[in-house]
Amino acid sequence: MIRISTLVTICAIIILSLPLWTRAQSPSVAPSTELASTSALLASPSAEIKTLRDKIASHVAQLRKKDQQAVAGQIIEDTEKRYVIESLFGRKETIDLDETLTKYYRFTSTIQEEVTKKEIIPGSYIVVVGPRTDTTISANEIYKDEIYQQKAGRVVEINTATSTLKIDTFEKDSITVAVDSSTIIQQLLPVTHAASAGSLSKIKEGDTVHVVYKLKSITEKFDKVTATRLLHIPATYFAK
Amino acid sequence: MPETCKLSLFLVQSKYGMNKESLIAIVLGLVFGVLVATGVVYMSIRRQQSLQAKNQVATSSATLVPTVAPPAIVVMPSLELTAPSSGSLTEAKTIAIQGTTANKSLVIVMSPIITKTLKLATSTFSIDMPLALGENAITVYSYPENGSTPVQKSVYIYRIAPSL
Repeated sequence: MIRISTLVTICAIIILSLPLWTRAQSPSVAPSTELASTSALLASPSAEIKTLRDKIASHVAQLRKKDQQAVAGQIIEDTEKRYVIESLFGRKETIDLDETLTKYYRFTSTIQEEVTKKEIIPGSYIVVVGPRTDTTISANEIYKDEIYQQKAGRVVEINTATSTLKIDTFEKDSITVAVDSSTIIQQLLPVTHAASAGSLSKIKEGDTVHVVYKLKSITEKFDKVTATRLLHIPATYFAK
Repeated sequence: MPETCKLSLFLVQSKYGMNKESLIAIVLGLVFGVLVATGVVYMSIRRQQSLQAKNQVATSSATLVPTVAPPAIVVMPSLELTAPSSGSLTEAKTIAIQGTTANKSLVIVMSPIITKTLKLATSTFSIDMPLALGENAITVYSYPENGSTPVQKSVYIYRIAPSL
């Protein structure tokens, strides 16, 4: 009985291993041909594969853009892998940085150029672009930027010696606006309602001005700013 | 033990053939089960009531916020910016600032790089604004036809250069 079972087992092993034997002993031509054609395909991908690859890349890029959003703020905490920024409205955001994925830029006139993380120093005002998770933003791109604000109000005092205007704003605060040679001054024309070139000498007390100015920091306490742009609306414009 | 209880105990004993201790154990078990079930039901009712109370507080506070926040809106003429939404990210070099305000208003749109003015004939406006790279803080002021105090709203648009 034992002999018969041993015999059956040996036969089964031999039968099962037959295909392996034949494969090992007679190598066919087909695999090498397949290999050759595959490597040829990889070396010079056909137009279809290239198109497909481009489509996938474009789709991935679109998906990446779709999830992206932008936030801006000043860096108040800076570690190797994380920034905490505070927006102009006091909102704090945690920004996750990735050593390989996150790219850093700064703006120079009309172009953006890539910089290293070292150039984004604590206190910098940055625009962060990337997907938001629950509580953080994974930064794909970080742009070093500048803070601009606008105010409008009535002129209550003019000092031609210092080229400054004291303004009571419509937001019920008071600021002193300095005008220098780089300030672009415009005046609203009463008939056409268009803005044309203006000058500090034409501004009178009681006139309305709109100013754009740059801030060094969101926490900066200021009562004097230098206008980069100024729109002057004479009081006579409203007297109809 | 009252006579009725003794009688009913005797009847049950004789019918099911149980002894006195087994019956007492069953009764105690039933009483305990009823107590536990009552407790569970009571706790679930209390939880539902507290959740309802919380929702009511949340709803009432949510409805209160907009009415309390800016009293100035009630006084001033209206200005609504319909597009774009603040915080938008774009690669475009210009963007149309669209909105509605009072008829025949003077609309002034200011950004760090340009100032545009428009005297409206109707109540809607659309002004193309060029965008600088980075953050564009754009403020729209609307002066009503017979007024010298404007209403204002701001949007922040972020422009980045197209990726290569």
